[in-house]
Amino acid sequence: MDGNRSWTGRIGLVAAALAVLVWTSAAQAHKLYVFAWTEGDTVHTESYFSKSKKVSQGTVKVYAVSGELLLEGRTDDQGAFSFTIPKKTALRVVTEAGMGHRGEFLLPAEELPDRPPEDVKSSPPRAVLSESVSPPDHGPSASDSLQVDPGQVRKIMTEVLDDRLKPIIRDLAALKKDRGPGITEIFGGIGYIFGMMGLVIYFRYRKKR
Amino acid sequence: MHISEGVLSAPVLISGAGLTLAGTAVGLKRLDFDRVPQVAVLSAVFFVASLVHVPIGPSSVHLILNGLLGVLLGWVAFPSILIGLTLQALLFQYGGLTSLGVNTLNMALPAVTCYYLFGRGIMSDRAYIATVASFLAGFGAILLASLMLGLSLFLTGDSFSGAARVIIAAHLPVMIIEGLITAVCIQFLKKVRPEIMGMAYGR
Repeated sequence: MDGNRSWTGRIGLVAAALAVLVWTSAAQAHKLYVFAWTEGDTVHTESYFSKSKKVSQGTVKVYAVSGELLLEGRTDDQGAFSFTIPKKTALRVVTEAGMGHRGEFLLPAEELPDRPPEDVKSSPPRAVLSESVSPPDHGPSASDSLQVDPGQVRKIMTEVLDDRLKPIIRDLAALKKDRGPGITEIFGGIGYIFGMMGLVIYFRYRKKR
Repeated sequence: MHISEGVLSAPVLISGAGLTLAGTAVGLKRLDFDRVPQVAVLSAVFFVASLVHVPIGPSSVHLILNGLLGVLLGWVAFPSILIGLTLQALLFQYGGLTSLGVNTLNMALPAVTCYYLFGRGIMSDRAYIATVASFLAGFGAILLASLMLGLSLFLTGDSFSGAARVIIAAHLPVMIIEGLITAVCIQFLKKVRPEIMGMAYGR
């Protein structure tokens, strides 16, 4: 038993050293991450294993929450795949990369633009301000001469917001990429295993007495 | 090597879980109390091994070490790998909880197979036979695990020859590396702690 213990200790040390070594080199090839965001009437998706390793030529399937398959495509070499919003519903983006790798991302309905994109496009290009049309001899009552088409405003707002938020969304996507196992998880797992061993030995020991 | 959640069909998942349960039961029955610390250490090594990435060409692969566990633990490799994979699924999100049974089976069954195939060779007194046998155990365990992975995907609908070829090609570097690691470890243990090898083979 004495020899056993020193052997155990030695291997334990090696495991700890390996863990530290691995923690510093954050390579990762198991968990497939999918991230999706909207821009106007387009949904952009990105699929990756890690920051540097994208899913190239993976299959992307887009489902409605009801489970209905809406569309299907392939990622390019950068792991990106974009499509126009097929339906105003929460979208489940599923990427499969072969050898059993699969990841998904749920894009909630609130993140999609309020009106289906077709409506915005088909709304007639009415004059935004009716001021120029109103007769000049009228008093300057701004309230009735300034008629604004809400659809148009919404569209402009969306465009501006998309532009402004683009860097933030990018940052968020980049932040999500570095979620490989940390030192906490690694030592936590090793701790669990030795804890279980301790339990087994404890109960066995009590039974023997 | 870890199959994610939602890839396999229900029958494959259920039969994988059933077979893993059976293998784990056999393993626990054969588990000698004196070997509990050794099993724990090897489970921890298995748990950490998949974080060791070997960059080969454009992609990187990771160690599995199921061959080493197999030749040292025999049937006990089943519960040991099950523990390692459960913690990997919970803490690292590798694989998934529903595919735990299939993943354990895919890695543990080759381990047990290698225990029976190469055990005699590993315990041989002639050094070169032991070295070759332990290399083959490390190599073969990954090869068989790749075939099992291909088979799991095939039973769900992928074409077997296509999937298996890609998987084996991707894991060829790991097979060689694990063969070397297993050979070195076994040689070391035989020299420094022969009683551990004795425990594994009932001598």
